Amino acid sequence: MLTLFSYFGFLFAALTLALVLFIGLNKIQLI
Amino acid sequence: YPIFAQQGYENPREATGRIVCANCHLAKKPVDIEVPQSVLPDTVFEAVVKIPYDTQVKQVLANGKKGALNVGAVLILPEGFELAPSNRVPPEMKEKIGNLYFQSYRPDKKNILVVGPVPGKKYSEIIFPILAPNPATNKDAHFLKYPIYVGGNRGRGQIYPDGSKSNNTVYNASTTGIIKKVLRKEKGGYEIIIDNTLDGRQVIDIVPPGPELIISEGESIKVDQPLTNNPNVGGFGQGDAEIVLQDVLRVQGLLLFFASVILAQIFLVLKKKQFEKVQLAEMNF
Repeated sequence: MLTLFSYFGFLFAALTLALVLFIGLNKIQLI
Repeated sequence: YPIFAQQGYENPREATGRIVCANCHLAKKPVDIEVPQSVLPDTVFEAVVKIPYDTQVKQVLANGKKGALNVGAVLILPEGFELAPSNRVPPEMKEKIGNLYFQSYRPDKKNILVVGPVPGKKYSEIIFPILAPNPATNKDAHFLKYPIYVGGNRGRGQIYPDGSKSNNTVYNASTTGIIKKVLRKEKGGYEIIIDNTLDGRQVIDIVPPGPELIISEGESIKVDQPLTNNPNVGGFGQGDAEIVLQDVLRVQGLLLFFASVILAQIFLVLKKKQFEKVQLAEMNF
């Protein structure tokens, strides 16, 4: 159960982080 | 009984890996153990030993009457692991354990636990509360993967430690010959008089109360041919499991490493995106 939670937890965290960075860096014209 | 093993053997696990209970409990039946994959130092965890059997069946008792089966188990933990003191066991776990009394195999062997005999109807699943050692305070304990050995038994044994048979096993003819007479004894059991056909001598085989005869008077039999059925319904089984004594720092380090890998991957993609923008601006593909 813990394995499953941590798997999806990490996946979700990574996706969120990527999304935030894409949008944020796009806004300030860095990428 | 565990006491027989405690009296007769320094270590309940022989060099071959066999647990000594199997020397008297000759029948083989399955046993199962469940332990966590890993435990943190100085924490209490449970090891569940399952001794499955049909609780409806009855076994032959020492007096020849039928009765319910008892169960017992021995748990051989790695050096440093021991029974959790009762003030460390959480109340929910205490409730699951019931009224079991766990004993260490020897006063100086706290890592080997024995329990039983206890009624099998109630305790076909035995929960051992175990305290993991702390390598910070105990220099003999290390963060490693350790084996745990378990032996579990239900029912009476077939042989006593002195080598004599119990009444929970098959009795065989001690000679070849013809059964002259079968005498039923007052307190149960039989005396079987066999006429040896080879040298003409008479042999008396004694069967205690319990096993039932499968031969009759006048029958001719060979040496070692069973005279009785096998009344045994129980048996002993052994198994093993592995447990990791895990360091908190190692888990945290692993998580940090994973996080760094994820970050690095994201930044590589971002860098590529940025480079694509530069390419677009310069228009030289």
